[in-house]
Amino acid sequence: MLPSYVNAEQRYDELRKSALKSFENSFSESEKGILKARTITTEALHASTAWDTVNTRRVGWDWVNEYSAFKFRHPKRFEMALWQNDKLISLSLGRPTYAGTALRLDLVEASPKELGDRVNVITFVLASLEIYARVLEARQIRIMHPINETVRDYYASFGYTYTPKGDYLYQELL
Amino acid sequence: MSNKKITDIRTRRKKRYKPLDQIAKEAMAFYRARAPLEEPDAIASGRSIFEQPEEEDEHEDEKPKPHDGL
Repeated sequence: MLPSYVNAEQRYDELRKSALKSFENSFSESEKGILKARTITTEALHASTAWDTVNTRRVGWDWVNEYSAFKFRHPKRFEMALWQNDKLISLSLGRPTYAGTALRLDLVEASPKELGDRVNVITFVLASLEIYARVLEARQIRIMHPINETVRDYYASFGYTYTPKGDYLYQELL
Repeated sequence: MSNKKITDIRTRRKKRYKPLDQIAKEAMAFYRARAPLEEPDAIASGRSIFEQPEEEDEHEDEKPKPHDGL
């Protein structure tokens, strides 16, 4: 592994963790007792395998392999594992565009509701994404490839604009 | 340098170097204010990294840089 990769991984890991710490500080008092926003660990990847047991899961991603490949390619990536009462409720991954002008949300999945009640995760994912985007001084956030119209419209309700070319939604950061 | 220019630079710096906790608070408030009551049951977005072309990057004309910014 190249020394430049190792340095970048360490440097951006610090940025990710400090962005997630500030993100947790923004939680309400009641949320602070039950929610944790962390980087994606082996424990989180192991917990995600429980999602395979549910028939209503919309995607068949193997997060263990996805994360491993993504981590190798993108040291500047955005990543978050969201926990509620020590139960994994969401995983998300993204990366800056090559020019660094935008931060993309490449993969996001919430735990199937059959596995238990959970908070609505997208508010938390998008807020966390924006914080990291501002740390990187990106000027735009993109949500790549919404899986269907319902999900796309849901993102649009936060003020994101859909662009068919590229199949993503975006929002400029002021 | 005129006083106006100095003020502009100070304003820009203040905005850029806002404390991270303040940035987080504002981002959370922004999304809370816009969050619809109901989230779709099966929320997911994206495409497996194994289905993406190596250098896919929409609307960007730059090639990937080796881990820059160091």
